[in-house]
Amino acid sequence: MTATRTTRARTMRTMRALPAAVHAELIKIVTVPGVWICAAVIVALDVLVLTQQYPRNVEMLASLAADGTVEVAPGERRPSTDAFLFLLVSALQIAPLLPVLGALIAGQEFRTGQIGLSVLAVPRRGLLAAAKALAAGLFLFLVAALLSAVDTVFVQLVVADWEPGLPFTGEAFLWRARFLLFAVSFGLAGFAITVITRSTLAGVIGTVALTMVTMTQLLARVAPAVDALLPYSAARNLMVSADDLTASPGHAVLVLAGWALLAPAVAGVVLARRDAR
Amino acid sequence: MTARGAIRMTDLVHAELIKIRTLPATWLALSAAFAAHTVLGLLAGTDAVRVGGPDGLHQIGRLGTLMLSPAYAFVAVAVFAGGGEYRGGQLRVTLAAMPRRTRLFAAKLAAAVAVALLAAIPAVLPGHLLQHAPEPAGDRLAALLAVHLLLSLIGYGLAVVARGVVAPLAVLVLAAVVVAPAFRGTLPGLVSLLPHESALSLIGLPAAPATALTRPAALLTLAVWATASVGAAWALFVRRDS
Repeated sequence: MTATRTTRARTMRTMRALPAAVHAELIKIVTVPGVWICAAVIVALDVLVLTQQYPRNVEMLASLAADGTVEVAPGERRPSTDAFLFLLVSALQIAPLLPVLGALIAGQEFRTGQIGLSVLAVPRRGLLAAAKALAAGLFLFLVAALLSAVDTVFVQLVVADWEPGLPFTGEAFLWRARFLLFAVSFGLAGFAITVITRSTLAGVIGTVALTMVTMTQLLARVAPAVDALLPYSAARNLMVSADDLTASPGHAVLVLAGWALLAPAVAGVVLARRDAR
Repeated sequence: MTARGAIRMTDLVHAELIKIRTLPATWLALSAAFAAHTVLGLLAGTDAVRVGGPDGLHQIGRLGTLMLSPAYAFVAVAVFAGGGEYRGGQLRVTLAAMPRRTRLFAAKLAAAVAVALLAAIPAVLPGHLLQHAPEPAGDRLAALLAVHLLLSLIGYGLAVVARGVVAPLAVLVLAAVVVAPAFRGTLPGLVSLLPHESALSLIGLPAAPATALTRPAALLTLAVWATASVGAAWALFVRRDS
């Protein structure tokens, strides 16, 4: 009875301390110039990609036929609504850079022994790990939301004279939710690999390797079940319509949610167990 | 007017070579590059394994980015030579010992170039011989060595500019695997001038016909990148706080 009460009291104290710890971690994130440079580069690249694709998207709308299909690629027609809703997640092309942002956020602590001071300030390691993951997740969410907003502006520019309400339907918000789930979970994967290896470089290399395995389709033929477990493959399975997907969209949602929860959890356990170096 | 006991240029280069030689990262990166080149060369030469792609199976030897990927492990040698001293304030000690910065930079660069030139041969040669077993192609080997040297110089310059080892490697690799594919369809002319794409053209394995350059043009493009990167590094190294 007393034991339970003590545990509960400790849990309550931890919960009350969490907002302050998250706030502290957010301050650490936003005061690192590299984080802002990386975020700015990601958003700028998204704008550049979309600017370059804009004429093609206008052409795509011009190819609208009586049966409601547009030409998405030479000789390939798809329902116009699907084609333009997919453009709401154009940032998928640039999203493999988000884990780099996660790695930069996590890596700051390991450069000059900063982590020792952080543990001194927040001695409960579980609390520290949770606060770190939440702050990183929040920052990644905000950058991803900005990417999503950029995509929305470019879609709206194309469809304004045809169906101005398209980017604001329930279906459109579902597409954005899919992208945000992927963006945050892949970003947290970069964060987690960096915490586990205590090295930003390892975090960057690890997530680049994850992206490359998906992009080169190394495993897609040989071991589709393994391929489906990779975050970028899950994003493809969730959002791209193609014949050679390796799993269903539902499977992909579970995989992405698994990455978002398990990767920071493993990082938290490692952070709690190891020397604060 | 070299006084007796004065520090000669060769002493500086020698000191820098010791630094590179005693860094574990150098040997780790070299081993990774050697192992990856050899394994890929063996797989490409025997055509034992094919890689699945969106349009069927590919011969490994035709996939430029895959065949060139060990070069980025090799580039880490030069990147650590250029950016490794910024960790823990090591560079301040070096500057206290050798205050003339232009001389120091020249010595560091000479050491990095010498290492890149010498180390590229053992890293590349076994894989190249395995891949082209019947008749090794001399011009291909020369192109591959040039790519290793010039990419190393680009990485070296970026490391000094960024004062670290993470940013240059991240920029080089991500520009190749994330940024370039996103623009390959819409801006092929610009993409073909990126370091990775011109390196692919130089070794004769361009990612797409639209981003292919002729060999001399690719060599020139890479040389311009290397010169710009090293030039920027030199200008900043001489003027900036350590």
